[in-house]
Amino acid sequence: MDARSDPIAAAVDEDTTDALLLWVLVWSELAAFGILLVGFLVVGLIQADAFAAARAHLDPLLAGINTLVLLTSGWQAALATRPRASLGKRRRALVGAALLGFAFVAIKLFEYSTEAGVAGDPQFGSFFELYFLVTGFHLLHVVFGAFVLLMVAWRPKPGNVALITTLWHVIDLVWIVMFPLVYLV
Amino acid sequence: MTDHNPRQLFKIWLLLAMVVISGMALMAIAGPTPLVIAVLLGLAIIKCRFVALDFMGLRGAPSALRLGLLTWPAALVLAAAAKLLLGTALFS
Repeated sequence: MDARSDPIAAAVDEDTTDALLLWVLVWSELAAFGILLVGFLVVGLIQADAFAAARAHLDPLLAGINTLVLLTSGWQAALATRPRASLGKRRRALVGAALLGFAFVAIKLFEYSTEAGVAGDPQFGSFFELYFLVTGFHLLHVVFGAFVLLMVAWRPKPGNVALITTLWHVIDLVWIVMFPLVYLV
Repeated sequence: MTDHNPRQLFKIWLLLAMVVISGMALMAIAGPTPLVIAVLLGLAIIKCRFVALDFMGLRGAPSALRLGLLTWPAALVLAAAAKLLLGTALFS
């Protein structure tokens, strides 16, 4: 019996294809961020003094607060994926996750505003170019992901909820690793 | 997709928040010494483990998928630790 005449087989086929595409997407994101972060570490080793001087102008407290915000958002995203969650609870959790994502963006933009004034100083080497590239690329993912969470909250189909929340957790994982690498090491 | 109930997810979130706050407190008290940075790198691995296994729901996933995802933060944290050691050896 082929998938077209058996709706269950068709659903299984579709589910398997979706899962494969999801993990291809997850790994392409992790590969891209991995390359950026390794590049940041290598340049940091070459320009150690410049990177140490530049880090004095960063605010690890704000970054720590942003870690809490993103983890809380991830918790809300996890609540949205529970199979027994009602439609209302699923929607509220997705909207909560999105709003916390926007809170992350607001805090990060405030942090950028305090760093922009010193970013052009040549004594900091390539630090701020790489810092804005790596954290900015992550920030764009947060903005995009938060909008998609809101769109999915409007019509929360299980497949879409699983897709965006998995990607949201990946964005969370990237930030957890990025924080000590960029701000401390 | 997680199998946890809301109470379990809340406990995991609380644990993660305590790990983050502990790390921030350690940084504020001791400053960014190599030992503190090493501890914070270890805490990052712990946070990633909880997010991947409990929030993403990979605890019951195939081991290749689970281990593959946990290898990513571990590899980067090891690279960061190597950079820290190398930097300390070269510039101290």
